[in-house]
Amino acid sequence: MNTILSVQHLTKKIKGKTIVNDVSFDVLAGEIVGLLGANGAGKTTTMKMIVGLSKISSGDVKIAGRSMKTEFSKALDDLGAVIEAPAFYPYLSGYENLRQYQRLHKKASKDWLLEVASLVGIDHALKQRVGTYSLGMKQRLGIAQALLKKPKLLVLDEPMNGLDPAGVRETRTYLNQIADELGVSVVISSHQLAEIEQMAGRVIVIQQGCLIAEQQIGDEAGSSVLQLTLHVNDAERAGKALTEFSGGIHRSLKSKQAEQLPGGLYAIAITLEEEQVPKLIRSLCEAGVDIHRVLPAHTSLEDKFLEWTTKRGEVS
Amino acid sequence: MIWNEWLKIVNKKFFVLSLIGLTGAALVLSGSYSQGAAIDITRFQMMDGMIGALGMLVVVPWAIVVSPSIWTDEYQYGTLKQLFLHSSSRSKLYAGKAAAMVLLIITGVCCVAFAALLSFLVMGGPDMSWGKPSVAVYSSAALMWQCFLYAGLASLIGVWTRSAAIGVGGGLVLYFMQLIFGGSLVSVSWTHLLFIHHDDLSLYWRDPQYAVQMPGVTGSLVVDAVYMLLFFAIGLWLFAKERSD
Repeated sequence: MNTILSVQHLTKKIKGKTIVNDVSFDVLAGEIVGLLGANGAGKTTTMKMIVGLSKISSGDVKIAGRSMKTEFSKALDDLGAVIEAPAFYPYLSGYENLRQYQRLHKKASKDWLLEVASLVGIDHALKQRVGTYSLGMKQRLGIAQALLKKPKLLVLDEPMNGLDPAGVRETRTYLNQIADELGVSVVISSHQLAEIEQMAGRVIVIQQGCLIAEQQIGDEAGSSVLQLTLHVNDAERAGKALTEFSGGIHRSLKSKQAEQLPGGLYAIAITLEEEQVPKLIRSLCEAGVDIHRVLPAHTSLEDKFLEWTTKRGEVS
Repeated sequence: MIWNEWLKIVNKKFFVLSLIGLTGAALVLSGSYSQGAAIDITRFQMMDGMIGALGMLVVVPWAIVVSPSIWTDEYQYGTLKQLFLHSSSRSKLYAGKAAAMVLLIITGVCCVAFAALLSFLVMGGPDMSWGKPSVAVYSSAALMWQCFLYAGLASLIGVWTRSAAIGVGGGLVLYFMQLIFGGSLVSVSWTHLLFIHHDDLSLYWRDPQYAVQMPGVTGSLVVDAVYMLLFFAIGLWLFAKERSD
């Protein structure tokens, strides 16, 4: 699959202070990538450098193979973006606002304008003045203007800010549609981790200007490593059995920790290879432990995000 | 780009109302001016005088008030970033705005000129002769030129400070200071390097004494053109460096 965005050793320094430090990642065609990070982590600065709104101190950004440093004009042709809040002329209608940008691009026709407005669900309000729009409508119009030049890459900074749950859901739906149907790659930053988890195929985590983690969403689904929670009657015996189990030939057992539950049971969270599950259950039974439940444990993106960021010594 | 900028201007109520106000003022003042006019004066001479008076008191201040917002609205609404994302050439964007400003001033001056012409046509009476149209054409052109100069300066201040209020305020202060003190500074030779003595070219045919002390219309045109280019260049530099933070 084609690489649409290639961020190479991107660094931003302002007055000697490093804001973004040696960030590198690629985005493939039709891929949705979530850019995560606490406030002030350097997400928006990274995005601004990607779209050419901020000067790159070192490194490079290539959009569809074209460098933002040496082929700025051509690279910009394949890029649509909404950075920070979508901004419009409040005294013009939604249609006239879109026409302002559409006239700047030869490849964007009036029909295409109406098509993108319909895709993001703002077609019904195009005749209204933007000054009367709600934040959600402005967000939609912002994405519509970004799509006007038929970009290969869409960069969206917090597009779900201020949206109600229905608006968030709709945004997710049409962004997926844009990626699937138009083959547009999307880089999206958001604090709504649950939404990113449902929308993005991959996440990139930035903290203190550095890329600290990059992971496919749903990696664990295809993996043979399982996270399980066992409900047992005897924590002590279970612990002993698990210690013996992990101390032996099965090195994949990563953690064991008991938590008391109502009704005299204990919950133990473990991570192990799928093929070892029957052996573990047999070991526990042989140790005289009653197993009441074996539950698959799901680690949310939020949990992972906190794990990644706390590892680096700072939590948002 | 010019069409985009023009549409942004004409869709604002303020612009439409101010243009109606200018035209209305021209009609009313021309009507009263024609009442007290000398018998031997021609319609175009009256028009010349009317454009001179209205230009000094109304049209130039109007141009100073409406022009900076062509740039500063982008800062106010936060649309500049969006505009930069859609155009790889900051210079073209800036030039488009400057061209829209020129078009705006031409429209304003033409409205005033046509309103005055209409008024003198109706109020002048059947015996009044037309005279030479060149005087009215020259004074209209001189007024446009003066508007370009001061509107360019006010716009530069607006881009520099990102504030329409400071742009307008600064432009008006400089303009009225020039009106008040310009005459007394003509005798000071080094001040001839400033645009304040070259801004109103109509003085060359209205005030022969003034014309004697000055370098001539061509010389004043050159001085004004240099200042306009300077305002344009500095404004462009400030505007284009916006993304390079």
